[in-house]
Amino acid sequence: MTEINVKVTLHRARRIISSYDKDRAITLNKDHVELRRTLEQFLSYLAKGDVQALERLLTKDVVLVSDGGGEINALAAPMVGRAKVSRLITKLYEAYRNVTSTSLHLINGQPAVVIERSKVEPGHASFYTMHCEIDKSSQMRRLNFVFSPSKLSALREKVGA
Amino acid sequence: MTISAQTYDNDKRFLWGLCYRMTGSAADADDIVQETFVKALEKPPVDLEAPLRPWLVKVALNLSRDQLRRRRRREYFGPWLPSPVLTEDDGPLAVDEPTAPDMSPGVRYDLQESISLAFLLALEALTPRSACGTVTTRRIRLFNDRNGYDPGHDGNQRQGHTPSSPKDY
Repeated sequence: MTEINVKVTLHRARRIISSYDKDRAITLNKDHVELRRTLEQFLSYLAKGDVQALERLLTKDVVLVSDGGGEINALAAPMVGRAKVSRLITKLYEAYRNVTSTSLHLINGQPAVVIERSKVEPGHASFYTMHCEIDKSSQMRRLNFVFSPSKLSALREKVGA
Repeated sequence: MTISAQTYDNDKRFLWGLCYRMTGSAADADDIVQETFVKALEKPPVDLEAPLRPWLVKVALNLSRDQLRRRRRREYFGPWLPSPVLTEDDGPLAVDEPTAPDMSPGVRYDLQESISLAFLLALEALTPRSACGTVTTRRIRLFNDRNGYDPGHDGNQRQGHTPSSPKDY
């Protein structure tokens, strides 16, 4: 690479990453107080089946992303919108209520939910993870679910699931 | 050539963190680190007097870039997310690296941000070449900080040195 080349590459990279920089999600707070509180609320509303409270935790145009790695069924595209997302989450939770346990762990440097199921369907991992991004008013604007068994295998021995 | 157990562990940990930041995949990072050490043993660097780590980093970054290119050619079903890594213990992604106990808040923030899901996703939108630059820039800030340079100063502008290629980093 020549010097000009480096400059062009850097310029392009800055442009691509500018939207991320503008809307930075990571909290500087060392203990992630807000994120932790939001996740705890999320889980308690889910357990209580309080759909209205759950919806208040989500932004209007919340995005739900799930990565099945092509190994298992997951959403083929991100799901957008408060009503749709909360309906999907509560339905899934209700369907597996009796075999599900949840816990908070520090994953990729941020608090995240590990959802474990005691009854595992063939081809699935025994647990999956949910990361969320919150905005300034502590509403969840993005939920990231990893379902892909091969991506979760590195976590398995550590989480003890 | 021989690599002592202590340097092997330190370098391995360092490289793993770098490769994970590059690829967002724990499995890829495992493979690349392994391959880097195999290369070091099979085809050792010419200058055996020089420190090994820069050589290892160069090889690992090249392999990571190749891996990113391969991944882009393959079709992926649905949205892609990085593979989650637990950061509760003192694993390879622990922000408190034993090699840098007294780092500044800025560097600590960089190290933490660069393993967050949001950042790894943003990186995925870059070309393999610029991803390499972004990850290494963060490492340079760590380096500069440790060696007493001004951390607010852009890491690319090391004193008396004009970077002409990412290889210079």
